[in-house]
Amino acid sequence: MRREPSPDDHDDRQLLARIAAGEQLALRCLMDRHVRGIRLFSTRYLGNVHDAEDVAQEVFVSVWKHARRFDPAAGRPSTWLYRIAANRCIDLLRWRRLRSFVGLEQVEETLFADEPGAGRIIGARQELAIVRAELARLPDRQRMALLLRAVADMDVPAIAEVMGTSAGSVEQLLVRARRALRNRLPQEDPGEDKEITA
Amino acid sequence: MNRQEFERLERRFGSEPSTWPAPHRQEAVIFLGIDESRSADSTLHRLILDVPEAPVDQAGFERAVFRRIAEQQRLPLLARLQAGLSALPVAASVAGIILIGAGLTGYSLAGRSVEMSDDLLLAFAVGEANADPFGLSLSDGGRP
Repeated sequence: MRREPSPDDHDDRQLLARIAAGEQLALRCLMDRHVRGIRLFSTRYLGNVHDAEDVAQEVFVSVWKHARRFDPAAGRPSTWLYRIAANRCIDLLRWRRLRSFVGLEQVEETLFADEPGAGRIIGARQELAIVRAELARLPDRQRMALLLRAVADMDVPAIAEVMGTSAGSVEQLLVRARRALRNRLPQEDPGEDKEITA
Repeated sequence: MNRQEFERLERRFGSEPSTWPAPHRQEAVIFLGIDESRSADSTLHRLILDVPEAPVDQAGFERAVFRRIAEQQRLPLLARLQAGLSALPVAASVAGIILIGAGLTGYSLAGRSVEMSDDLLLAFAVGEANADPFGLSLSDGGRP
């Protein structure tokens, strides 16, 4: 199932065609459009801004090298970009876990420890802090599905395409991830807004 | 997102936020207050999106990307091939090849000697004069 191309798809397709022809300006434009999303997705998935920055750079290097391989008939440009990012993130996480397994890296210490000023900015916003902490605890595939939905604004078929799985499986992942996060959030008090009457 | 940032994005991506790339378009929708969905899911997505904005050096990012591209173009073919391969799968493949190689070598060597001893044992069993795999010939006083 394919979505109808949206105007931003059209822009991205044109940019990819120009990148395939070797135009650096087109790559700059594509970075300008998508770097924030790719960076945010990678940061939330990996929990580490430095690794996320590295992944984001690799994504656009890969786009430059392989833009000719992009098949407009096979999917949306943003789906292709996020698939590259997702694969890079998975590779990096596996590598990090292997290093942790052999004692070369302390994963827990690097996770979510170095986002600049995050703690200061979040401050008293308890919900944000909870969501971020719980995101890190979600199973990898649930976290990826949820981030592709929330950050990349993808629909279920596009997420399934990025993750190489079925739409039904993505729906299950999303349901479980949302339920896990919601269960951790403070429940709204139904009587909070009611007037107290004597 | 604030008014200033919204206007900056408007100049970059056009006046219609629905055509902006993600996550700018979701943020614009939230900023403009035109998000009609009040479901628990959309609230959750908003919380995930609500990121403390760290200062981003866009020009520095672009420079880093183009530097990497230039570095990779300078690499010789073999190094480029290595750079394109992830270390973990390569290590696993090499380990697998070594394991399979050792297995095949061991099997062929051991198999050959097993065949030899089978033949000798068979000859010994039927009483051939020259077959004495254990050096226990009666003539040599092998039996105690």
